[in-house]
Amino acid sequence: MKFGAAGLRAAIMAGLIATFFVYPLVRLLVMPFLSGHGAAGNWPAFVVSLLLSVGTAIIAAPLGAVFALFTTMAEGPVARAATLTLWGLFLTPSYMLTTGWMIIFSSHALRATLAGQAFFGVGGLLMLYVVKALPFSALVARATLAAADSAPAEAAAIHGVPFILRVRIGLRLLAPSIAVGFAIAVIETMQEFGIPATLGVTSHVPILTYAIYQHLAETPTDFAGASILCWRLIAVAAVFGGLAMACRRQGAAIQHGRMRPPARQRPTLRRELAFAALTGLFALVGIVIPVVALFVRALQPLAASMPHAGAVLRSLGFGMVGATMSLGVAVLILRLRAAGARRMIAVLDVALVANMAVPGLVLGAGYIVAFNNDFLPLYGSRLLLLIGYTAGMAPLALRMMQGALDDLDPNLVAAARLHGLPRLTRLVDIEGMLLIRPFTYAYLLVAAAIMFELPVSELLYPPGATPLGVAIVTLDQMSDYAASARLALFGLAAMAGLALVLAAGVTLLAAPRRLRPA
Amino acid sequence: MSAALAIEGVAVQRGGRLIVEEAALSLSPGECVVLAGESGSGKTSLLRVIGGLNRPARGTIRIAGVVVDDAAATFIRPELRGLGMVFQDFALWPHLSVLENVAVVIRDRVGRERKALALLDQFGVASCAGRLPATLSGGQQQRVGLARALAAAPRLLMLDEPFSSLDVETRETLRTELRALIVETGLGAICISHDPADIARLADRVALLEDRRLTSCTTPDAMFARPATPYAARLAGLCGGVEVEVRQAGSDAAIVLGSALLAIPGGGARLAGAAQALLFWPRGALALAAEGVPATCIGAHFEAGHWQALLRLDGLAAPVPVQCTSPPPRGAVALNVASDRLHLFPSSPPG
Repeated sequence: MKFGAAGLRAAIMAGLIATFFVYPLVRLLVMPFLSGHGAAGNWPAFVVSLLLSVGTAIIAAPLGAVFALFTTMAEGPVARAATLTLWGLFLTPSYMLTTGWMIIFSSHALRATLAGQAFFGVGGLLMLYVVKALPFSALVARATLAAADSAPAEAAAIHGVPFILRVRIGLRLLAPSIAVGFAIAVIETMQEFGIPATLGVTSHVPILTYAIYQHLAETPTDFAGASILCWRLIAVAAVFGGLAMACRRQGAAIQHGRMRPPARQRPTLRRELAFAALTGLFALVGIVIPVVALFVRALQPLAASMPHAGAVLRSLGFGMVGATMSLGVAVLILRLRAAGARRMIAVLDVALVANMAVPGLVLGAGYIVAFNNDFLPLYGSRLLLLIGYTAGMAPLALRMMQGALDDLDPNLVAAARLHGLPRLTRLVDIEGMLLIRPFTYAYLLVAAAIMFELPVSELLYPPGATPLGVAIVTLDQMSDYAASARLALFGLAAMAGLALVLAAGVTLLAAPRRLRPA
Repeated sequence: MSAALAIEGVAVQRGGRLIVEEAALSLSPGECVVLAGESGSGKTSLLRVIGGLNRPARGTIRIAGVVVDDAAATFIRPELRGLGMVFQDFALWPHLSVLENVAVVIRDRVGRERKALALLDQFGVASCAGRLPATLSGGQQQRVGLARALAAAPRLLMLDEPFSSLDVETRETLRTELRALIVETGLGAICISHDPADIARLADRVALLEDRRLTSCTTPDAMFARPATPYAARLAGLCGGVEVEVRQAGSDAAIVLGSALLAIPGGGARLAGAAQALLFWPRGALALAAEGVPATCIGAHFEAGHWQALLRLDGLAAPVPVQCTSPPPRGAVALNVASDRLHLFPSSPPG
């Protein structure tokens, strides 16, 4: 009976992966071979994107390592502010960041300056790419450092190793983290869509992701051409993903049972000030200036009624439903893992890694090709859009929920069983209450990511149901910055409202009940 | 009266590998069996199988006379087995108050909090009832763990290294309290430990898990008198463990100790020819003397009321510790050996 249930779950999961990941991807990627389309494609867009991505990574990876080191080793308000800044940069949708800056440089006076000319060119793209790539590099390096042992550094200090050598030892330990951060920065920048869709279009700089979108969105559509560009995008992800995996294996971090995580120390005033300046610079460029620009422009009177006003609540709904579906898939996968279906686990792991290497844009393109026919006429429906969101976000949901489960001491659940707590009590009062905070956090993060998602939305939204990201970018392209700023801020407010409601609910439900003795 | 716990022919697998084979053990109500074994020997895995958290590969488990698992069709879920367990890391639910941690496992809802409070009072932690576990000391948390285990009104108490993360003083106090509790409540208890003090203070019997098997299940005094294996000998307090050469000398065996050949009563051909681990009682087996086996004292330290000299003997790879009443001289010394206080065990465990 038990085996049957696990087998059924595995079959459902295999069916979902085959239908909504493998099939559309294969349909898209075989197109150039079936259509006899040559290897023409848009080489300038690829070369410019690759150069920009590598350039971005060269700047972002060392900076990310510095942020990672400081936020892992240092304590105090600057370290906390730096961590907050990293998360703020990570969560800010790239097209909102770009919109803020485009509002600033929409002033003719500023646009005419050297800075203005640089912004509407490769310089502006590089700046925004670095801002968006920094949190990826830093968070990846931080994960490695957080798992590192402080013993090698302490041993070097105790044994009187000269400072220069200690720095070299430190760099040797840090090098794999920097390399992984570099690879991730290249992949993320290469796959970035929000910045090319806004600033890239205005600047007329050819970028690969936007070129793929143009092949699919402009008439006549060129699926085979888009497919060739998708191949290049995936190839870059594969090469740099392989590099990242190889670097992770080279990691010098020692992990064992008696590992002592690096101790946090208050840095010297000089270092703290220097780092405060660096954090402040990124917080200003990546969060404060664009958000203030959005606020200021949103306060300006609109020429007519606000266009796309319904997009905010619509995308909030998409976010909530998509997050529920993504977390549902994640739960299904976690249950399969717990059931120990080994072959299925191996298939799932391959599918998840592949899914992460395939950007939403490619998956969305695959959905257009795969589900726009008489057999599977899903294209143009809200269902396909939601499935697209789910396919893109399931790995994120899974990682977050797996992390929460890994943090849960299995003895807490075992204790509940051994002491005879009924199933419902165990599920609600023990496991549910212990996991409700990380699960809510995962839900909010996934819901926010879907609400502000752009590439899948651009390719798959049904007529009359424009998602928020598409609405903002459309208004940007029409230079209607006041309306796009208002939409962006309403969107942020709606998400903040959802977060507040859920947080209040969780606080009420999971608040520790401190009973007084009778 | 049914045994509180009876396991027969139990085999346990971990990661596809058999880690316990043919384990058999019976435990009466009011009896405490300490399950000892080296790290990784499968003690916790066996306990988890008894608890129903994992299934055995083979064998039968009975709790209070009821078959709870026969490795086939019969399987009673952990929550229905009537168990109480004290965890090494306490495993108190961090989001519940101390009182709730105990109250939630009491099945009868009537007067639940009053009963929980009475249990907390019994263990001296009633004043912490409204606090969260994280705000308690290790000793207080373990007391709450004990109160929770009893609150479930168990038929069998399981303890997984319950004192290993506590300081010496708290450990001592809790051992005494736990022993009194087992005797007074008549509960059967199985306790995992590799601390000789737990065996001395808690155990009615000691079960040793070595080389995938329960090699012995005997009373502490029997284990003390005739340790069956080097591990049992160490638990009983023997020291040493150096490998020595054994020769046959008539009907006796003789060990080569430095330049001397010492007869060990009995053994003879059975021991001769094989390398043996030599363990001995710290008192009376070896002593510095004016004459005897020549040795070299390489150092000494003061330990628990006596001096302990480290002696090197020709032919032995490791130094041998010897108790003495005064600081020994460094350099050449002579060693008197009481061969009846020596124990020999095969160096490598039998196949």
